[in-house]
Amino acid sequence: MANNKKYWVGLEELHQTEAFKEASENEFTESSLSVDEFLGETELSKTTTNRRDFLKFLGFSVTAATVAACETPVINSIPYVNKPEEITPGVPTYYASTYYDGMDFASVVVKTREGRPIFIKGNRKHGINQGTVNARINASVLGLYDGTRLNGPKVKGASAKWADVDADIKKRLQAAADGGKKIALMTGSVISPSTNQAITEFKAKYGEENVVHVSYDPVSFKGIRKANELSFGKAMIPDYDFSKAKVIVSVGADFMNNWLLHTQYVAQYSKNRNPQADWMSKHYQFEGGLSLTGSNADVRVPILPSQEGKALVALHNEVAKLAGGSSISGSTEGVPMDMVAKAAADLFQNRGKSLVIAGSNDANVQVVVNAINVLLGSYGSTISTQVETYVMQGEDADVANLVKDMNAGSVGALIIGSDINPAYSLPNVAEFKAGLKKVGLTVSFSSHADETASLCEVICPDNHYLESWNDFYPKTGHYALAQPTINKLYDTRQMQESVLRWTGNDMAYHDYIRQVWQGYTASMGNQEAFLFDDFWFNALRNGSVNITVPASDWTPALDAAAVSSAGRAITSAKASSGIEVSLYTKVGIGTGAQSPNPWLQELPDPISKVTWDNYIAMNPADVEANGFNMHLGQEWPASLAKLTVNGQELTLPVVPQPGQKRGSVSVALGYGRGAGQENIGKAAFRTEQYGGYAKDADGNKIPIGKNVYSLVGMNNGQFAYHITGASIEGTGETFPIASTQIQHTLMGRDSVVKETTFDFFKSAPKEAYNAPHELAVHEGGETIKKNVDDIDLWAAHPVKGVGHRWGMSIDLSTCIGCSACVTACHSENNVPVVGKDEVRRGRDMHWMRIDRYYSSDMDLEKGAEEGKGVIESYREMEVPTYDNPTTVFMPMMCQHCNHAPCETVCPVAATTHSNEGLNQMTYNRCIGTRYCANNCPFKVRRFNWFNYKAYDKFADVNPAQDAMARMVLNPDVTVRSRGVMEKCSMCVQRIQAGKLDAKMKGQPVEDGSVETACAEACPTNAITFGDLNDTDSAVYAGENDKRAYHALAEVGVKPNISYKVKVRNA
Amino acid sequence: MKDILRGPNLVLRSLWAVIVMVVLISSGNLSAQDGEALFRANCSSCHKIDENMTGPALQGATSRWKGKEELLYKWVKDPAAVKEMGDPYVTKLLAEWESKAGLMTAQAVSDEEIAAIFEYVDTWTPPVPDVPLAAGPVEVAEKGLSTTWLLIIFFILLILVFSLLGVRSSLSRLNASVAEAEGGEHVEEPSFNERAKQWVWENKVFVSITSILVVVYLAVVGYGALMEVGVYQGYTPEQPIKFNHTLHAGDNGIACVYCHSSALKSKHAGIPSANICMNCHKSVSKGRTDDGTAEIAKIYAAVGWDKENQEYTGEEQPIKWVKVHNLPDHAYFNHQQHYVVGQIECQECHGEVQEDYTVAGQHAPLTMGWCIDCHNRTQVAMDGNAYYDEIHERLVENGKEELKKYLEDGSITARELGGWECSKCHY
Repeated sequence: MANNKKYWVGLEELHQTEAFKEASENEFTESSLSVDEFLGETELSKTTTNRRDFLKFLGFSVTAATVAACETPVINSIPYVNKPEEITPGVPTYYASTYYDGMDFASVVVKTREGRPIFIKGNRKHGINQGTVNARINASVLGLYDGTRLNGPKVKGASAKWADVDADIKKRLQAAADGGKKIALMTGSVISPSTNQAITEFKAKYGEENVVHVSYDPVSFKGIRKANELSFGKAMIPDYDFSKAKVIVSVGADFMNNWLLHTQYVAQYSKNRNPQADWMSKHYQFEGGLSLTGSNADVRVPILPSQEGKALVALHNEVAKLAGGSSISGSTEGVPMDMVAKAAADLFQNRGKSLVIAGSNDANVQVVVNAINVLLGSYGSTISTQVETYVMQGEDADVANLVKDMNAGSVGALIIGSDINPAYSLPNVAEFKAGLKKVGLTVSFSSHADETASLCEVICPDNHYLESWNDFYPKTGHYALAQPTINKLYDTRQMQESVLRWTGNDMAYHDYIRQVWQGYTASMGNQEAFLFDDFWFNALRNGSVNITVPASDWTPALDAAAVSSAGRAITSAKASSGIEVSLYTKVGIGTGAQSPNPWLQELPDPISKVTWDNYIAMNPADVEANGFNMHLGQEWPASLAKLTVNGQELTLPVVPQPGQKRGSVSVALGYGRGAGQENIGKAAFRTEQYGGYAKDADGNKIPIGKNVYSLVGMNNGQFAYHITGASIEGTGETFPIASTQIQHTLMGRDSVVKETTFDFFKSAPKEAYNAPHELAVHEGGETIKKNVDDIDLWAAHPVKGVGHRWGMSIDLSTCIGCSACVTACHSENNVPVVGKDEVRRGRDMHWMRIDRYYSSDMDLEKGAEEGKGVIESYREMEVPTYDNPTTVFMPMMCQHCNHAPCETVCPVAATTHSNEGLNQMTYNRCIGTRYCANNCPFKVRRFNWFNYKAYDKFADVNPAQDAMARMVLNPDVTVRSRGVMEKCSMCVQRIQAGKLDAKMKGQPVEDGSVETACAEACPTNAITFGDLNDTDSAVYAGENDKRAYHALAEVGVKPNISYKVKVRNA
Repeated sequence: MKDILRGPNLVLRSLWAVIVMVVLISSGNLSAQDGEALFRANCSSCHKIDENMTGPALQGATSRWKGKEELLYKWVKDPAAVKEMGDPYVTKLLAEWESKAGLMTAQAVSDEEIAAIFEYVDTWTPPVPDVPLAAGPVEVAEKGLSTTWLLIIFFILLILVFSLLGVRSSLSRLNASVAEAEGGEHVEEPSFNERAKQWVWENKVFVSITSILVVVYLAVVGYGALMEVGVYQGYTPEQPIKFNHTLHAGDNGIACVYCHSSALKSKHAGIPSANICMNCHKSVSKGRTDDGTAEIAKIYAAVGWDKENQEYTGEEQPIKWVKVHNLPDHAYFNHQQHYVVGQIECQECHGEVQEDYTVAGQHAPLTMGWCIDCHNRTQVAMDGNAYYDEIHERLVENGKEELKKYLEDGSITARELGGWECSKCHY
């Protein structure tokens, strides 16, 4: 049966190493210093203080402290002189805005308290992302309060005045233009109409022929644009509609994490993942490294990254065979043909309702993708060429040419946008830096003196996006607006305003956007009835607005010659030698722009569960073959290995990663920021065990992870993120890795995650895939089996049907493990950041975590069939299917048990049950015995080992220690102190606020009016929160669903949180 | 200004004028009392009697317009028309006032009424306050003095005791040396310790009872003292403005939430922003005493109000109040919940500020015991609130056992609905 699969938490568990067993028995790992050692301290005996004196001191200090505490502290309270109408202290104000940083685009709602933005959530009502946000967007609010942002413009490192800087730049730009030299404007992909207008004005001012605007994406998708030019004659990116796709085949495209407009795709994709609907989409993923998208695929096929093209050619030919089209000639050796054929059959069967995409930046590969989609009739249904996608406009060749021009000395001025950091993220950084010295005037808009800005002569720091006005046009017909939610914290100026100043335009950018929009809307016809202010304020309130754009008469016609030549190029490529390296972006860190954000650094990677580092992800079989450390943990560091690619050497730790294609490795981009000691953020550098930064031999701070952008290759004018011909060699050294998932043992349990297949789910009764747990009980002299739900050890709390009973229903089918809930919880509940050393010790403080379980194909039945004994079967179960395990994600937080084991063991009643079903945690009562954590079957309780908000060790990692970053704290949630236990409160502050709101309105609490931070952040609506006593609520339906079960049902704790069986359309 | 004259306002005003006329004519002669009423109804929103406000002070207007009474009356009834006429005095007046206050609105009053108003205004004299107002809580200072005196007396007594003891020991030493000099046998006097032990042994019943009493007394006093640690009941810090609650909320009967309006929609009752003060103090610029006037001037300084020119200067200076009620960070309190939903009067926790206090002080101890004590006895105000109807319905349907508990005493207290649970206030 599908639900009998065994899952293991990590390789340590799988192998049951001695060290792991020991660690799993000692839940709270203690420091190695024993009592004897402590008393054996020689210094101690030298002291002149005897015991009596010590007691005297103690008594005196206690008295002194008590007396001192009697003093009334004078706290000033300063009200507004003129209170703004919309702000009432204590009441949050929400603003619709937009997040865009070149990688992520999302319509968001910003929650502000007393004028401070403190929480970012998706805008569910408006915008193309339909409420989808990810961890990076959630966590971006912390960047606003970054104390290392520049305060005012800098010239050669010294502070300057805006007026002087402007005058100087204008003069020198004019001189450059007059001298016939180029003025280069290098930015990320600009999707803002008003910014483009400003750039046009800038070009007009300094001469069309003198000014070049170069778009640069650190992670490029130029291949798709170029492929469309080759295939259809137009360099564009179409709009993809995943909601219409019954079969999705993705070849290396991580569309849940970084691929084009991924926030839109996640929202659309998750709509078709409900097994109780008529149909469920089927998702194939061909890829080398295990990506977030791949881990959610129904069928995942590991292939070498270099074979992506060949796999697509094979897929094309299979589809062509079915559709009667012409096939591409050439060898596709090494491609798993059976899986390709299966995918092709599914695709063809659902032609017109299927979609093939690829992640490769190789135009040839994308041309083949286009050809397949044409064969399948995807254009006009799942792909629309009527609607263009405007993100990812990076022109890799232009960037390369610019660097050449700079070195040739033909660039008179270089202005670099705030959204890019080429001196960090270009593969040819040395060349870029050399060229930079030959440019007459270098200006950066960066908010920090980062890798690029610190090399520029002038820095004109840009506002944070939460302080800015902006407009966006991510795809045809859809406009979005960003509005400031706080006054500027530093003396910064918006990039667009700076550009306008230099063209002699003194307009505020807000007025400028209005003017540009007025121009657009004037062309919309029906002008007399059209009130611009109505239109504008409506767009501002909603954050976005849709405009009907006249249909274009362009229909894509496939150029067959382009397909065959692309196919030739792909199939004739030489077989790679050596190890293949694929460079990817992580869910937390992305391209590295937010790398110094401690929330994101501490966010465990959804797949590897590693925090605070990048590493070489390698198939465990390869790890074993190389003799590297297989089992990582607190005291078992990873092996360091030297990765050699095209003569470049990088030393990185090796992490065994099941699912990684053998012969290939993956390394994350975005790490190694600040290698030149740039002041990019407090949390950007490695810290020592007792606080302070770790220093290398030269006394320099050490960045977190390694920068691997230098490995990015160039292929036909596009950046290439798959590189062949690498070699790996162990250095014999080790490096500690902080991973959050080795501390729980679930081996052999079948009541944690339940999983089945779509076909089985459709045909079988509930008992077959979601059997209720039965226990043997002695009743009336007989031993009978009884459903665990009907057994009570002691009297139940009277919460069922009476008053409120808050609960959650979590659908494992739709959870994609993206971890947006983890950062949302972090920001809502003032969860401290503890840093790598503490995470390594298993003391991470996340109130909610995403448990990730790999499966193993062996089970007891299979073992019995093969004539193996139980013990031997278990041993076999531990044998990994290293190559392609299925993966499940399980959000885990306090289960708010109605028979909570933690409540019964607390000696001071600090954790109690409320009459609304909540398991309450009262910090001011807690004395820190930790009995509750010991007794929790879910291991969700977190202990404050230190005073994270004051202790030196956390000065550089925990934002609560920074006067500025402290402003991000939620004023409704206590910041916990040392020695108390904490855990998920089910966002009780929101429940209380929601109830009060209902009482004020004089109506029952409306379903959906109260949402926990995690439910609010969940892009796929996998988490439903509500009142279980409200029989009309969604959560009530969820709990009584046929897929609903309680985790660890056999312990009979009766949680208020239920899970829904994962259904895979395999 | 002129725009206002057009439109429905004019119609309403004319109607009102007709009604007033009818009433006035039927009532016969107009007196100074009527003049006061008319002044309040028609003029006082812009004019004060003896000082300038939005418009100039009215006292003495008749003498300023001497010889032009007819024009003055016409001005009151139709300023726009008079402006057109271009009288030099009017032009001068307008040059001074029109820019900041605009042209005066036409008043629907008869000549008779105007005369009554001016009669009242010209004969008006500023009232003398009957009772001088207390400056502030004086007892606090006296209490402080008495403690100091007690301490001084205590120290004097202590010195006395020590000097007497010194005298005593010198005398005994003298005694001993005299005895020795006389050649008498030196008798070993028992030491003080020995004598004390001897005495205790002889009076052991008395000593033990006394010591038990002393220990019990110290324990009780000590416990009481410790329980007061961190309790700031009666804390009345000096505030930057000596705001008088008795005057505002008591004598003038202004509702608490007129100023503390965020109690209606927020967890904080809030310290009113200075612009709320200006709702009234734009026209009330004088206190009942000079001290009061000085305090009002502080508001003007804060909001940047130029009283002379009746305009905002834009120079704002926020008022640094001292917070009186300081709850610890781990305790959550919501004014909206208690005042609006719970219908608890402000005075319940803050005392009778309208009678007892000038500047606010902490009336309640704000201890957890005090909170839960109230939760234990306060009935939930659930009448007419559909939220509680739903809760009640669920209880009746599914909670027979719980229902019995509630019915026992016939009342539902906050505690019974979960008001004693930790997570209601601590999260």
